[in-house]
Amino acid sequence: MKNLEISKTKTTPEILFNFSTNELSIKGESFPENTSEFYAPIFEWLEEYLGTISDQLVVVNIELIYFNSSSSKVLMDLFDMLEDAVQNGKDILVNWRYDEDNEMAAEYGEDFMEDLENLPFKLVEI
Amino acid sequence: MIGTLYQYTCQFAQEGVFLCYSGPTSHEVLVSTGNTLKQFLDEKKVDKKQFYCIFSVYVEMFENIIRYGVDCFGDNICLERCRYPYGIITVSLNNDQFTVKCGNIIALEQKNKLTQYLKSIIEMEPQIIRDYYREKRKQKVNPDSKGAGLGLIEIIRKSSQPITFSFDYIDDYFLFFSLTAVI
Repeated sequence: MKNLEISKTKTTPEILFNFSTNELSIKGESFPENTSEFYAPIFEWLEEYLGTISDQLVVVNIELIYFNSSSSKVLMDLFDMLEDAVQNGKDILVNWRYDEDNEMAAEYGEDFMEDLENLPFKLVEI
Repeated sequence: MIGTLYQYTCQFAQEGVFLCYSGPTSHEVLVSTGNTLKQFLDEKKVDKKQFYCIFSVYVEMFENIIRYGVDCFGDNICLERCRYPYGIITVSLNNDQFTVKCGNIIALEQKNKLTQYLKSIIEMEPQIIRDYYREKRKQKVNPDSKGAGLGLIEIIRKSSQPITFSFDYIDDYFLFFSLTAVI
């Protein structure tokens, strides 16, 4: 399987999903013109990836300085997908990384954390 | 004409408006004016929390115009598949408080539904609206909605005062809808 690499733009984050190290990273800002279009290949990749791995630890690092409400919806869908995978025995950890003076990002991380039951979700101040 | 523009400028200056866009809207315009807004806020050394609240309200309002506004530049006002919906958005600064206002044209029949919805979410306490946002985010997207349906809730959550809205009469078919948020 190929790694997924998408460079960041003014309105979309950098995506680095590494198949061999099991590290997935989403970093930057997210307010794409068409949110579902931008995230579609990411979901496709993840679905295939989750089907290939067994019990190795997958670390998902998310560092979003800003994201709009449509991206927030997509992130929730993404976490739901990871949560299902955890219920199916996968070992996944999400690190929600935020800048210490970006209170907003921390608050939004807490919101996600409270909505997830089984997915290990850590708030990491950077 | 030049005299009129001078009058607009003076009025904006009096109200502390430092950014105004009026015209056909698109994602490109959102990105470029949004960047200018960020640069201005950077120069003013606005703290990070207020910075992203202002930017977030700006983006959500602009996206609402792009999604739901109607085009009034052609021969007829077009309701469906508007390429460049008309909108106006201003950002002003008065005593460390930022105000973002937006306006666009809507069809008359949208008024009641929009009023009802806005009233119901404006009166929610902060914790209730936070829960409502999370509940809506978990739901499948409403096919009628062109976005995630979270934009107005997001605007309320980022505002430091209750948002206000109004409708101005255009003709028997259309209204001008305005929304104001203070951050």
